[in-house]
Amino acid sequence: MRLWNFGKGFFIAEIREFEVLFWSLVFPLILYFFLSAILGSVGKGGAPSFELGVIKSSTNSMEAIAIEKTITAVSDADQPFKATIFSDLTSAVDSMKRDKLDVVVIHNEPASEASSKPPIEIHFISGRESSEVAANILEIAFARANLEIAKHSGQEFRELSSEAIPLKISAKSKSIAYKDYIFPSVALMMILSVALFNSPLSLSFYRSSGTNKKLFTTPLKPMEYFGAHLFKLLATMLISLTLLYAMAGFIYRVKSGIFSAAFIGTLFLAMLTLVSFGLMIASLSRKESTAGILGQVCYQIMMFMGGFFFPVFGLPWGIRWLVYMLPTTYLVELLRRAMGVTSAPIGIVWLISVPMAWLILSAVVFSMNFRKVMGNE
Amino acid sequence: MNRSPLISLVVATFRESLRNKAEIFFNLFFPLLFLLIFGTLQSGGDAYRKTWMGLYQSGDQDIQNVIAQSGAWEPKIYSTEKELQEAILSGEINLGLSYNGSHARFFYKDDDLRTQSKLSLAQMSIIAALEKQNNKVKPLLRINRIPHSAGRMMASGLDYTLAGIISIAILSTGMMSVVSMFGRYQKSGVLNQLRIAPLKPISFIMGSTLSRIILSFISLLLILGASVLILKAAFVINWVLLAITMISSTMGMMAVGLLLNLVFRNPETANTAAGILMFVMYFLAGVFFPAALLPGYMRAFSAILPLKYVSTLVRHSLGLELISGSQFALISIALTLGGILMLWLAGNRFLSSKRH
Repeated sequence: MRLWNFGKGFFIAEIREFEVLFWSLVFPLILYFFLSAILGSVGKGGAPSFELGVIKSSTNSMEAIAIEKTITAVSDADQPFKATIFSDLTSAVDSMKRDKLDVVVIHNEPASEASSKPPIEIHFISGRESSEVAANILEIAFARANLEIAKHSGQEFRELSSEAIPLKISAKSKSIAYKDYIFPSVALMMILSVALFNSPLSLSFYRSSGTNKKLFTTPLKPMEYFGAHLFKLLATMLISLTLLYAMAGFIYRVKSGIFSAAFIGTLFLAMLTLVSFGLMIASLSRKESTAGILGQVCYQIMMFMGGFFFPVFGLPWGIRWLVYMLPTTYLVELLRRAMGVTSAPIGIVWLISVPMAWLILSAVVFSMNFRKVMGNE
Repeated sequence: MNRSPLISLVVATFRESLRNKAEIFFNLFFPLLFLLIFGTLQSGGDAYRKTWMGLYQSGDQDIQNVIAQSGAWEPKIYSTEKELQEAILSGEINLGLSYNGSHARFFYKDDDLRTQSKLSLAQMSIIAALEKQNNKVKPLLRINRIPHSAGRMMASGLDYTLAGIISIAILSTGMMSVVSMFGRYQKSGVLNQLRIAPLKPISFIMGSTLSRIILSFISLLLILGASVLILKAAFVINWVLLAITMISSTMGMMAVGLLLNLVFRNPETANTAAGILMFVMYFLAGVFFPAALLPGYMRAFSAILPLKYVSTLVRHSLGLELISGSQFALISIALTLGGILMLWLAGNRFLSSKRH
């Protein structure tokens, strides 16, 4: 009863903190919305809009007509370009350099009737992504125009068929929507945030402020204090997960196995492993500031190098070893496997044993420093 | 000899910052960590060299040259289609082509969003090049691609990403340092003690913020060094302009931080609001994901955030994209004046004896 009362009080005190409330409960929902809204449409077409500067030729040659038709075709309504006519190349390129245009196309006239026809020039800004993409699209449009001209010239024309095939690591792996795919990453980010920030920071704060010492003058035992701390973390994570599940279920209609026993079981493994990791951070940090720094470094590395958002197995070996060391690499993959998706070339034994190894190592380090962390030396 | 209160305060707050491990970490080493993580992740898409495209050919025709000449791809030959697929799944390459003379199959990993965003362009350009070769098409329209530099150097995509990270580091150091400093001073009662000290509010504010500018400058040097030495950025730096950019941007972002401190009286709330603002700017800076992938409304929204203007100054100073002298001066002056105005307001608000 004492444990329950203390745990409940501990949790209420924690959740009243605006920072805890926001970062643990509200932020994961905002993040889920952002990621689904921004990245959910990648690879599904969409209509990018590029500003195209055109310097027209004054001739009525066949080339000039073909160019004009191509430019009209790519700058019609619902097409990717918005064309603006310029009188000279210098002003158009200047405009492009000032980021008013993405790409410039010019059809130079031959110096004389006898001289060879100069090529169409596509001018773009090196390294500026929108400019390079616009130049690529325009180049393809002209290449297709050449093929269409050849097709209609009466010569025999053999078309090629093509298809794009997504590869899955396992034949059993399903293709799922991005809003489903990103769910494990957002859930793990929330667990990471509670385990690596809330837990070590609050333990360090209560220790350094002397609150623990005062508490231990009462009949409260260090193990009861620790139990209440775990209860508080678990309650925060469960409330946050409930909100995330509600958003995924009712708003995004995520169905890909997030309610399965394997998925929920993996979430509990993740909670145990990462909370244990956070306790290890607390036991290695003398001060609150050290706990904050260690937590932040581990959080960023575990999130970005753990493959939450980007494929990480193509990184050079100089840094890829880190990917294989992190528990989150295995946990996020295990969650995805529970959804029927295989995205990393790792056997199931490793997916379970590496997080377990971290769990045991962290628990051992923490238990060796238990009295120090509890401020009961 | 007695030092002026301003210099004494600069020295004192700078020493305090050096003793504060968390502040040193978040101002100096956190941006560096971020730069190394994202620089490494994105250096795979470096435009200095072509990207590998795996190729398996089962017909008589050799299309290596067609791929090499069709765009930004360098063919890498595999002896079987299975080997090609395994290379994609293991992350060795991102895109593969299996071609038998009449049909082309493009392979990619289904969770690789970056490759998916380029897939249809790659597919269209290679098919067009193959059809051109197969049908011996003599193109009526010949194309010549001419890259331009918008600055003092021919930049790559990685240079732009690194410049984005540098902008964010300046924003973060300026804003977060004042939010955390004033939060700390408010909480610990230092502000109450200073109110009764013979110190002008503006001297206190200037003294404490000058130390942040020094920290910001050290942070900038560290991340620039890492960008150039480790990630091989090709910046052509104008140090005078960079110093102006750094000072004006830090002042501007301090203004935003102070505004948050004035609006949210609770230091924790101000800190959280600053965190949210930074999160939004990280997203819009094109660091996490290519900015071209962002929906139009989000790109439009970024125009009202300080990130856009700080990025413009940073790109100009690093030689990526030049703007006119008057534009540079206008943005720098606006950021600096914003900073000075907010510093004055904050000085009066925090240290005014009327509030005591």
